[in-house]
Amino acid sequence: MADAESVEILLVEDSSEDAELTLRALKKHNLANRIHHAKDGVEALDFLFARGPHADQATLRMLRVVLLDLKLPRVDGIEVLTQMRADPRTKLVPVVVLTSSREDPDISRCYALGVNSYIVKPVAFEEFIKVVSSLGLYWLLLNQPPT
Amino acid sequence: MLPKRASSAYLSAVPRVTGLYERTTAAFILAVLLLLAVGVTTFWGFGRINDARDDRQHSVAVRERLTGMLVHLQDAETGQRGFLLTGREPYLQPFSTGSQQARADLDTLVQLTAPDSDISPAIRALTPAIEAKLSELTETVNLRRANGLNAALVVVQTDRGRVLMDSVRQVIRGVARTEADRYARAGATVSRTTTLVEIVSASGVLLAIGFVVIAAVVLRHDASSRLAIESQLEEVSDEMRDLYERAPCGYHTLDSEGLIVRMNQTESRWLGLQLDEVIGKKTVFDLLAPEDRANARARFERLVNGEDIGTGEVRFVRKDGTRFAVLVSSSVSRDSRGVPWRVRATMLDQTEFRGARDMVNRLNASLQRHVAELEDVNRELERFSYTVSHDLRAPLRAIAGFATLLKEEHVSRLDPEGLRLLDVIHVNTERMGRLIDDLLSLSRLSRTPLVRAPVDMTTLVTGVVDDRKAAGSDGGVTITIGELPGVEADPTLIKHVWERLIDNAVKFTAGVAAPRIDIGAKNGNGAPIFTVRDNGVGLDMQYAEKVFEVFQRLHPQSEYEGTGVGLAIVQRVVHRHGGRVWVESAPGQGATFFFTLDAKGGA
Repeated sequence: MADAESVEILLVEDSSEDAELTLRALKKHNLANRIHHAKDGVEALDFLFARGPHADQATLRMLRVVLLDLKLPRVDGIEVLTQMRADPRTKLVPVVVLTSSREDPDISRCYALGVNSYIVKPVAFEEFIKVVSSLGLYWLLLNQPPT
Repeated sequence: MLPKRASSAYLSAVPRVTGLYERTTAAFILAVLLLLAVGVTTFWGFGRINDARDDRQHSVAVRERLTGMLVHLQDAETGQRGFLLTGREPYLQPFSTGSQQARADLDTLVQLTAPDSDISPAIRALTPAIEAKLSELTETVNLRRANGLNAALVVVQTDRGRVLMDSVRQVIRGVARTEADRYARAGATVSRTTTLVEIVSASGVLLAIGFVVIAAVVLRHDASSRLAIESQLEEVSDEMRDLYERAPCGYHTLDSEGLIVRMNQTESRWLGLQLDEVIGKKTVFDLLAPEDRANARARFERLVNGEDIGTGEVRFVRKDGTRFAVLVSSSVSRDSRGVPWRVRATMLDQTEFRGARDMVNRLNASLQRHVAELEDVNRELERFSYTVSHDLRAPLRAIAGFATLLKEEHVSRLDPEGLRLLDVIHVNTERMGRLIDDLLSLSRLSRTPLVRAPVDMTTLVTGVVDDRKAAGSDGGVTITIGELPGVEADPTLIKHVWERLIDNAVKFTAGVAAPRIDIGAKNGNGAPIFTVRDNGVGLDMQYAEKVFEVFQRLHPQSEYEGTGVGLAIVQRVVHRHGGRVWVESAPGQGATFFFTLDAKGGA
């Protein structure tokens, strides 16, 4: 886990298995040290807006992408997204929604809320690695962040 | 209330005989006038003929008298000659007889001749001529008797007698000629008049007969159309009676005092009363619930006084004492002076109406319950889909992922059997993932609204096939696409049909030497039938229906990959379009899948 100053990717994922697989995939591409993992919506929001346990941090400047699962305990992904888009500080941070299925009824709502992309997490691990890695590389290396 | 307008509408269909009375009357009057004219003509003709006959008889009589007179005159002369020659008295007998008769003839002639007749002057002229002749004869006779033959001969030789006789003859001839002419003229008049009367009476009678015949034909025709009208009227009135008696509403007619004069069967059935118990015996108020009577009577008075009282509700009491409510609407008919004559009322049984309304309400409520239940079920299904997609896939992902990690990171500590077991796990997690995807897809295709739009099938199918070639999932099969007609369908859903059918065909041609898929369409009863024909392993027609059922597989998983959902999706989409899908095949001979998107299509 990276220290707060160097975090460029925020992974919001309640499934520890999915989180581990994601982290391993990113690690393969030497991106894992720049990741912060939030286990639910509350943690994600605290981290994003530097409150609660993260009250003394200023991470917003460095954040390149948020990987957001929709189905989360306490505060769900839609709520996290809504709050991000409502706050000028996080309004422009790219958000990629990770979903288990393209059948998810929330997908259209996510687009309405200004999500940048959505990814169906594949069952096959190789594909999962490929998807997650390309995500990280894309957002860290290719995408020009809004300045 | 009998629907008057309806009855007149019925009758207007019956042909009317207009002016019939006038036409037949005219024919009869013409016939009578003709016969009258014939009668007048005949009467006039007979008069004329009689006159002519009288003329002829008169003429004959005049000529007979003239001839007789001449003969008698000659008799007298002959007697005179004989006496002159012989002096013998017997000769004077014809002389005196002839003279007398000649005079009598002359008298008769004068009598026969009217003073204004054209022969009257001649006849008048005859009298002196004859008298002169007779006096000459008498003179000579007297001379013979007194002075002898010679004295008489002196007178005879003067030729006076001959001259006188000649003048008499001349007059007689002239008159006879005139009378002969008259006789001939009268004869001509008789024959002319006879002919005229014959022609007039024959043609008049014939024409009169003609008119009478025409009138008879017209009357006969009229009688038959009257019969037709009558039978039609009878039919209409039967129908009216039937409608009246068996209408679903009650009808009754009251006199201006409220006495019931007519009631239909429906109402008497409602009341449980026989018609002869009420008609002319009871007022409508007698049949009402006691507490409604005063109000009903007041409304009745207002109605009769010309007020519009609209529709009201009253309660009737049945014979068995039970009650029922009706909606009643009444109208008044008045005589020519505007005096109320009848009150007609139509009644709707409120109990039946209320029953029906309650029934509708109950059905509606139950329908709404069912809709709500269905909506619940639908929501439940959606939640289920969501759960399946998330909660089943997440552990699956973990299993697959960690099995892979195990294989990658601990490969040195696994023997070949361990690696094989990991592969089995891997393959099965993938299969389950596909199964979940397919099930979700089936559920989604059943739930998403069907939006029809024009679909260019050729472009769509070409796209699907190209996608498979690009992804390398076409198995190297030769795929031909025939001419495909456009349809009105949901493009997204139809794309699934083609994808599943083509994937299915690719799958089952896998082991074949020259795999081939032919896509086409044919006309089936006005709607296209689309076909996907392959030369693959085919299937036993015994199971032809089963291939479209969910999870029905005809081949073991080890031979052909598949979830058993693909063709179920095809069927679901086709059915949602109102179409039909079926397969024709035989083991080892390939299979042809057919589908239509229209209830008309297919054989």
